Amino acid sequence: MIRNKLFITTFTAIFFLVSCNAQPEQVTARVFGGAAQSIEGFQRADGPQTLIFPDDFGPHPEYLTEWWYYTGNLQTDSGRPFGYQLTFFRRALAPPDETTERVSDWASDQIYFAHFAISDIDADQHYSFERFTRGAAGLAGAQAEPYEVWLDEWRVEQIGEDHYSLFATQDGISIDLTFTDEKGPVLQGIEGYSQKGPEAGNASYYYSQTRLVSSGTIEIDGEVHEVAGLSWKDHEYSTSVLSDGLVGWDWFSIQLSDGSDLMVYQLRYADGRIGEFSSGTLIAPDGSTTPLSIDDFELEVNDTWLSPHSEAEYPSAWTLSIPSVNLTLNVTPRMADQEMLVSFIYWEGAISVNGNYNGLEVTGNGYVELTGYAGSLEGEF
Amino acid sequence: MSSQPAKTQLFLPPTLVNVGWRYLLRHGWQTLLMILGITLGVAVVVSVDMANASASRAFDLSTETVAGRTTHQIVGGPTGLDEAVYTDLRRSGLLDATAPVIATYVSSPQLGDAPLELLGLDPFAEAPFRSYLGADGAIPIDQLTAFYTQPGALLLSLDLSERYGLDLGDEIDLSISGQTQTAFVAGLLDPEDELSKRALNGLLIADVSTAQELTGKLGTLDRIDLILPDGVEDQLLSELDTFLPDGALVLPVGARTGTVEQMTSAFRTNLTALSLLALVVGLFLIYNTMTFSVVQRRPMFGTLRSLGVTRREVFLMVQTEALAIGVIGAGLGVGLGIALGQGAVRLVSQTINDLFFILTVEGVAIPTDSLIKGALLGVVATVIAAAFPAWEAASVPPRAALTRSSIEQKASRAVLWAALAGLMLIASGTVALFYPTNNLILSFGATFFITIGFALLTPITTSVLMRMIAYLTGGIWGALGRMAPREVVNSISRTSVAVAALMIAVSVTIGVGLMVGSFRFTVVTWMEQILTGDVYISVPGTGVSEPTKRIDPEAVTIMENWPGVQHADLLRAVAVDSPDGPINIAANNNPSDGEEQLYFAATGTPKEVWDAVKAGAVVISEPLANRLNFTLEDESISLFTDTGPREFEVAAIYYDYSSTQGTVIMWLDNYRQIWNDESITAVALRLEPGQDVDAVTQELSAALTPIQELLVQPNLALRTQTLEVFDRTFAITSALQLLTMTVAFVGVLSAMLSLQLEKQRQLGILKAIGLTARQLWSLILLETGLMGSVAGLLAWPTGYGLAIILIYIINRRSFGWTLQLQLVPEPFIQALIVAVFAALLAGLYPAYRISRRVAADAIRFD
Repeated sequence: MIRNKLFITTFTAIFFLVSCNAQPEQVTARVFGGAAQSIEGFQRADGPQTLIFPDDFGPHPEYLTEWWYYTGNLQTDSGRPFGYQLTFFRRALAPPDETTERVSDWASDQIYFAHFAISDIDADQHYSFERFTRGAAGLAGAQAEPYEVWLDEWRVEQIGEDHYSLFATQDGISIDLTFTDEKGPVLQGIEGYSQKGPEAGNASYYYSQTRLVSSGTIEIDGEVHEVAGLSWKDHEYSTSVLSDGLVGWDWFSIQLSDGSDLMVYQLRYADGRIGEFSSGTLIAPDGSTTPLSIDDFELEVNDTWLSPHSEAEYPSAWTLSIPSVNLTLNVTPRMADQEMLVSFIYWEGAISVNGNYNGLEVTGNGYVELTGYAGSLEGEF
Repeated sequence: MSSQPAKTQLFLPPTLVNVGWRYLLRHGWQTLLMILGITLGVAVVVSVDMANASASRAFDLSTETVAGRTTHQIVGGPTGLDEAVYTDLRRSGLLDATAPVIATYVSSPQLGDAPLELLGLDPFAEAPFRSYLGADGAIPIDQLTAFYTQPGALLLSLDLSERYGLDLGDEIDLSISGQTQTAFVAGLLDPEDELSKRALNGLLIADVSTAQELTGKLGTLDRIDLILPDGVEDQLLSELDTFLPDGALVLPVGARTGTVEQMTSAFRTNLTALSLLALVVGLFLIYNTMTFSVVQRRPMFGTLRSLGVTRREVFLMVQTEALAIGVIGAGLGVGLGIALGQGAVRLVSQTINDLFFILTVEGVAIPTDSLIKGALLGVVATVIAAAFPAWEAASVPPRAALTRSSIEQKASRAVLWAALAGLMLIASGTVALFYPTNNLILSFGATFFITIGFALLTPITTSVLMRMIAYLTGGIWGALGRMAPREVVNSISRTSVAVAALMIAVSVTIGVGLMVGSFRFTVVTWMEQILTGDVYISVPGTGVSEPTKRIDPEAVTIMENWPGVQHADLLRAVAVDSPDGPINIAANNNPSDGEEQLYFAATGTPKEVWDAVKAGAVVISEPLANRLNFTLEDESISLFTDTGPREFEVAAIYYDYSSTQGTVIMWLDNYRQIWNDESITAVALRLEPGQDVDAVTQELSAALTPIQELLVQPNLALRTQTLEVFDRTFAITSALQLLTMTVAFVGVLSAMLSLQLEKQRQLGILKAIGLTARQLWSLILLETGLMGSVAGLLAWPTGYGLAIILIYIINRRSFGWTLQLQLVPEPFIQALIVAVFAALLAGLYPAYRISRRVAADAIRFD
């Protein structure tokens, strides 16, 4: 998904993680080769390509950026709800064929970083964390078979066919899940080729695992909660996606009570216009997909929320309608403050939906990502 | 006099201040000499303190910069720490803050060939530890791509780059363990605060990957820095203990630096003691001159007292003079001290680099507390030294002048008391010295007692000697010959102080001279004994303090098979950790090393000792035994090995002068087996008889150069080099000795001047009754010459005593070395010549002055 482009910006903005216990001491520096990175030499997503699994679960260093994105809505037996996000990003510093041969195991031109968040909805608490490291010396990386993506002890790994475990922890907040993929990989766009702009190559390869039946524990400050629910995975890689004038996007992933799943995103221009390459996919309970173009769906904002942290104003309630399949949904954040206070600020949070699908009442949960509200992404990509 | 009695408690009436002031101005020479004495004394103290403070701050700064907020470190054995330990630790999530570090000393021709610390770090792990990679300062990633991805990319400080005219992208050659590696300037760091700036000037920063490649430490780290939060520290330590593989060790960050600090502190205490001695000599001078000025003014004090000036006011008056002189002298002394300090800083840093560890931080700002300390010491010491003369002045009864003879009568009684006190000081100092302790302050305190004790014996010895010598000089020079010694005795209250000051200065020269000479002799003898190889090969380093650089195995093979080589003794020198901090190991395969070492204590014959070593025992050096308070009854020492701590039986303690830290010798095969480390640090080649050592050296050097830049030296060159380091080490000592001598010289000069000037009238009478100018010259020079001779002669036993103390007590307690006393006549003869020469020189001006004067004037003026 394009959404993740923003983290590339993150990266441009901050190299060294600003850790809470670091004493800020001013050091100015001049560096060699300080020009912004070029996309020259990287492969471009410039047309449909057959994705092959499990190979394509792994990393694609010939592309500039890549991410593995996990979100989910979980609850305890007693119904106490939690949301979570665990995302691993890869960023190449140089194209593979320009890389100098190095003998140290630590030498790498791949940077990994990751975001981890827990929404404790009843307590109205949102925790977010960020880490960076190199994709070398076993500190971070990804592999196709058996599938694994990790950064330090944060990891998602395959533990059996269609079975995975997920673990992350920091500062007394932990998540430890196992999940089963019920639908298998769902190809987004045209057979996994997701066009984001009119120019050739402004696109990504993108597949999802939309219904991961999850169970495990969430620990908050020593209190352990047994939880179960549904997770969603996105994996996307590309070299360049954003067209001129775009400032951000709104992205939705929704798992409905009838077994259908839905992904839509819209790209926003500064003047509020919606980009024409906004699109989505409706995934039936059997895994079959219906691609959605900008003309197929409509997003109406019903409310806004003003962040006390960034002072950004985010939309906070929507009506999503897809007339062609007779679907109307009210989308509501499960708690207002799910702003990610990491090196680049955005809103990523658990939502719940209710509405009408083909004349039947449906409910569901999902995740929404809102970018470009606490600072534009324009010119970054 | 004063209508406000309360005021007189603190301040002198201006009239009295004026009286004192006029006196000081009228006797400009005396005043100047007093000021000069203080100035020199304070300057020496300030410069030494500056050098010490700057060395220790440089050390703190370099360790602090490198350690950052680290609380603990995981270290490995001699071959480093497997890098997988770090990955496993990160992936375990056991700790929040961990950072890999590679640290090594390098130098570069483009960076002035000075030692620099190359730090290999992981920028992503750095934020909690060190801030020079920018925490809030934020270096954008796409700008750091070069640092991160290009081989040889280094960050250095803007200051350093400007000093050597380097700019971004410029190539620099790094000399690392005898190999030259090419690197380039990938970034320039410019921290805002001055301390970080200075610290960064000694550092080159690279990514871990780059540092591994440059140093060849592939697959390993030098250490992992940790921050263990307070409170959970113990729990985390025990968790780490089970988590880490055998051979990986968690140490608190101070554990390693503490030992080094402790070792240099002995060196620094020695310097301070020596510098204080210069001040003490300066104090004798103050005391002497003040006493003289008081005696000279007795009639005036009598008059003042009869005019109603109180005792207190007279006391204050003299003390105010002393204070003024003290303040001026101390002020000038601080200034001169700063100038001398620059040189001292260099000498001290050099010695520390040679003997202890590499200081990469240079030119630390002038430590203001050293200056304040020195100035205060100077002023307070002056006032204290003047207290007795001031009391003396205050005790003048309120009527005109007391005759000198009564003072001298009083003085001759004092001579006995002084001698008694002197004997008691010597006795108590000796007792204190025999008290078994490693406390240097106590040892030096006792030494001072003994020295002052000898000084207090000066008056009585001078009197006795003068009376005895009168017969001799009388026989040679007749009446003048009898007169000169008597004159010395007659004014014993002042002559003896001058003689004592000179004696102390000269005895220090003898003591230190004998000590350094014995030390050098011991080292030379020792080298002859242990340097039995013909050609020595090692890796050029940045100092003896880093002996762990490796010789390329291919080079070792070439040496072993070189034509004419009978045996190649291989040495692996490396520091391993122990419960008592890092300990140097010298593992070798020299089959006869056992017979070549000199044993301080052994469990058997040299052959038995060496057989035990081959079987797994070790021998340890005397400084190490001293440092650990180890005796052979303790049987074994503990070292951390790759499989955890292990006890090693100690077969003997050997003499060693190569390191103050101390060394453990073990059999190379045993070392290799235990630490799994095949590296070689140095090789000694024994050639077959008849081989040309120089030719082998040259040919071998040429053959090895393509593989590694190695230092191939014949036995003789190595000895010369060792002695060069030795002499460099004592450069600061010699400098201090010279300064102390200068202070003493000024003291003698001032004492003689005062004495002779005071006797103008008497000499005038002598002139009037027919003494020729030539005879006057003879009389004065004979008198001063006699005083110089007495000082020189008295310095012999004192200097010898000092040498014994320095050699057998101070040195052992400071550095753990036993030196063989080498008694040579040179320092004694030199001391006598210097003393006589100084005294004669001091007599020249008064003699010149009096001989030019018309007798009548001399008598009239008083």
